[in-house]
Amino acid sequence: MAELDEIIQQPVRLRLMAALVAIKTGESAEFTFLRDLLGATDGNLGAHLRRLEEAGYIEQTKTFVDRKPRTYVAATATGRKVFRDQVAALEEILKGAGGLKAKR
Amino acid sequence: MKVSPSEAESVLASIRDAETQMNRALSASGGAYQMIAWGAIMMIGYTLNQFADRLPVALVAGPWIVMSILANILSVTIGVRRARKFHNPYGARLGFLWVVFVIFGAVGAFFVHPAGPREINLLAYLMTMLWLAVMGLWVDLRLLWISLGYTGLMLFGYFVLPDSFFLWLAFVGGGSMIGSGLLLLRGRA
Repeated sequence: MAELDEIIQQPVRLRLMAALVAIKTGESAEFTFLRDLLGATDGNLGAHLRRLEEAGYIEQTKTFVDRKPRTYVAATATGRKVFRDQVAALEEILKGAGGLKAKR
Repeated sequence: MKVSPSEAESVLASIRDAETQMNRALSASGGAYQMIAWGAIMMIGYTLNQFADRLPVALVAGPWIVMSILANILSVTIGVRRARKFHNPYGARLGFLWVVFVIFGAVGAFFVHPAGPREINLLAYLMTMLWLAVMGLWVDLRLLWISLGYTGLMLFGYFVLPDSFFLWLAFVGGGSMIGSGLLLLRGRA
């Protein structure tokens, strides 16, 4: 049976990873854009990003655009794999439930 | 960690929702609208080219110039707006690469003297497809296959339908560009 990753399973982090994996490898999304997309606050999103970064699932790049600081976030190869495995594990749980229903 | 099937279902729905939102944002800020705009320009411009011998020069060249300026402004605006939300480490280089291809294409055409309007337009198309192929090798392999497919179609039109080549460029070239843009929007909506 597939293992679920506890770090990524947290709802905001899971939605965050889903959003980051949807963009191309090598591309990154801007912090405030992600905040608005997820309906999170700055502090809340920052904390989740730190947790994911510590786990090696995302990378943050800080830069300046028009003299304003900007943070760009990208999923790492490990993060992408863990996310895909998580989705597969969740689908397996659903399939298992479907299988049980079918047997009955 | 244990998750019940109903929890798994709701989590998967939440994942799909986040992916859909991101894909919509990507479509709204990305190349789909650029492809549709350039496809429409090709359709109108090359249709006029097909009937150039029966039309005043201003009616053929004028729309090309106006539409190209508008589409370039649109492309730059979309690119700048996109860069605020998404960062691509190769973005600026790919933009410069496009300029390099345009310059080399123009210089090449100046020295080689393509035989006529069909050859000049085919050369421009081939340079664009070469740029797309390089982009494909660099950032997304799918673009390479798209480039090769379009190039094959254009060469087919050039050799097999020489008298209707501009209509081929308009409807197969422009049409497939619009179709790709719409597919991109639909696939991400």
